[in-house]
Amino acid sequence: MKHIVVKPDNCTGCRLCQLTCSAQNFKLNTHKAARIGIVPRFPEGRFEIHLCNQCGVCQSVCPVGAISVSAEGAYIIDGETCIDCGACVDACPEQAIFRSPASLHPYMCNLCGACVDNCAAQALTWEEDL
Amino acid sequence: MISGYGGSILRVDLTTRSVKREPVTTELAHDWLGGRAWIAKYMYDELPAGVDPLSPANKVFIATGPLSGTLWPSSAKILWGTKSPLTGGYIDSNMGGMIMAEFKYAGVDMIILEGASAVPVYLFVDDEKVEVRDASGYWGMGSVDTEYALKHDLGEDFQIASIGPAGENLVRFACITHDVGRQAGRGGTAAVLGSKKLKAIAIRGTKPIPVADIEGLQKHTTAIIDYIKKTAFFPTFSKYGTTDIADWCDSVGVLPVDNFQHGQYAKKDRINGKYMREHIYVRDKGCYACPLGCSTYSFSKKYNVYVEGPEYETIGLMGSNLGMDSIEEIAVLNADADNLGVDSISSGSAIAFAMELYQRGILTKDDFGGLEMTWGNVEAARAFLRLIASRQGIGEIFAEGALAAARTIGKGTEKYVVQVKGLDYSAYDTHAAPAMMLAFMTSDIGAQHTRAWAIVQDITMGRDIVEGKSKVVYDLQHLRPLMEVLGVCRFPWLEVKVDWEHYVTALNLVTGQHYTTEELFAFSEKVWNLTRAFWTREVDGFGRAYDQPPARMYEEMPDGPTKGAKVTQDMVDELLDGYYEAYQWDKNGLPTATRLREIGLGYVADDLIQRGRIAP
Repeated sequence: MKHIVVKPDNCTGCRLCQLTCSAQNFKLNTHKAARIGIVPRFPEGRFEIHLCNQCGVCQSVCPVGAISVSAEGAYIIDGETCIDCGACVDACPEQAIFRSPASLHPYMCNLCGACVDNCAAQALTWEEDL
Repeated sequence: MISGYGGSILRVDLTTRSVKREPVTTELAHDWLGGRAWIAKYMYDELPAGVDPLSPANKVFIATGPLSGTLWPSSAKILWGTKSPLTGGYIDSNMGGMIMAEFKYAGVDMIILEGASAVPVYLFVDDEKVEVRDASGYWGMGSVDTEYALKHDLGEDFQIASIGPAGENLVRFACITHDVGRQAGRGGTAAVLGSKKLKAIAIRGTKPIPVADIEGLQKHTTAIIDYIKKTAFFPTFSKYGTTDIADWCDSVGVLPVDNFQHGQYAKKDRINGKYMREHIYVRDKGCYACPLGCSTYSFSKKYNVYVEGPEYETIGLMGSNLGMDSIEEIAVLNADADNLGVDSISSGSAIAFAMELYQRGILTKDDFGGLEMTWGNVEAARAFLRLIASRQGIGEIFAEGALAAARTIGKGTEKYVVQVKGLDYSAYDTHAAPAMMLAFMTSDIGAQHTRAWAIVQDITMGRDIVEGKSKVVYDLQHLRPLMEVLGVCRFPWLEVKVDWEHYVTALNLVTGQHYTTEELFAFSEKVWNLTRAFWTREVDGFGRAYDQPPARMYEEMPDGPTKGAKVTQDMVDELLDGYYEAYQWDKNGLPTATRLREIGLGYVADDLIQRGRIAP
């Protein structure tokens, strides 16, 4: 299984990953619909990257069983089943489940990988399970 | 909805605290695009002729371009324009960071600030909600501190642009700060905000930017980023950014030393990008949508201070030009300048001018309130900068800018101020660089490097060669300022050679239009004529006399790689003759009525004729 690994020390905070994600997944020009979060911490000078690492906590807390795993290993929230209770958002240890006007339900990384292509700083890279 | 645009212009009257939202029309979008073109147009059309820059009748225009905030690489520019309190002419100054995207997400392409508040205020924009709010709690705070305070109070997702004490005190080279360390630095735009008692703008929006072909834009962007990653210079530029050229500038004798008195710097190895990386580096920092990430966020242990930068210009003007010992001293001066809210280029120039007056015994320790203004004295430089920002003691004189200070001090000291049109030189000595000098002489805001950075052409074509360089500057002035019309950074084009045609493609994918390079260059000609027309209208006697290089360049360079080099009046005349000819201006450098009419500025021709500024 492939994962996207984050390296916050490389992140420059440019938000190209978020812009690319929003364009790829929602056909929107914004960083605010992204399935990845970037949080600047200044003055100390670092960027937090919030991205699903497929830990599965969300699936275990979902009260209606709306979260499944795709063939690629991505966690997917089924919009038909989801009751939008927010349990997954609150429980996610990576703070990597998002809400935005782009979707009626929360969502997380679907491992499309568009962000990896456009991260010139190499803060996002693919890694294969051993 | 017009693709590429947020859709509206916010007109804010600070006197009455009223706000009007005007639609961006298709005519405005198509005929004037955005960014600095909008600023040039609105400034000419709306400012009363002869307006005092620090009066309520002056306005500040804050404009994005059609590519600002889009997915296109390095689409991170926003322009601040006004009648400059430093030069009395046209100024626009751009900043990177994040705020340009937030403007457009709030549906705002441009903000026009008018009038003046009686008490400190800030402008609050949260999508449709726009308010002029009390800022008494922030007044007096540093620029960067204000940003942190407003984010704390309003939310981290607001983007903030703010002024510091220098702007509040109407220092004529005060700058606007955003995103920790991105500045609209030049020409004193923050003093105009200070005169309007506007401490900051806080803005947040939720609406995506309409893009005509988002899939095409994503594909185009990914292809360009893929190209950038493979270029040979990308690893170096993303690591060192603008500091990379410090060594090169020293090696070719253009790094300014002791107020442009020398051509080489003995301590160059302590102020370059490599030394900076080893001693004060915290991390690389990028502007919105930028794969280059050229900025460096730093921490000086020696001075216990964080700063974004220093960039090359600050290394030059506040480092070698002041005789500073190392990058640590430059870092603390940079941090002081940022928080006081002053342009590090003009600050460096003002301090260097003061130090040269001290060196020559024209001003003494007593004049400086006990400060020993010797080259390299960082504590004296810091204290002097605080005097300027607070207009105390001798700072009152220098707060007017180095050229105005020289006119007050007298004794022939104007010749020690390295400036054109009142705007201090960026960090390139031009004793042996005619194209770069012409770029400074003719830049439409004064001696700024960004309009035409021609130092490379001086090296490749020959340091003492004049022939052909007028055309070099003319061509660069048509391309580079276009970036600031579109709202993008020039570095992908300049540093890793992203072809200009790719920008045109991006513009068409975003707007759904069919612009061509030929059309855009013709448009550039119009904008350049319009800013020239503004100077012609605003400044009595404007023309060739205002395009002259500083006296220092006529002095023989005593040392370094350009030893013996000096500029002659014949060179200057030849450069200007060729340049005016390229623009089809008259011998005095004024736009002609015929040319203005040819390029669609007939109303400007009529106006200048009626005012007696140009011949019918």
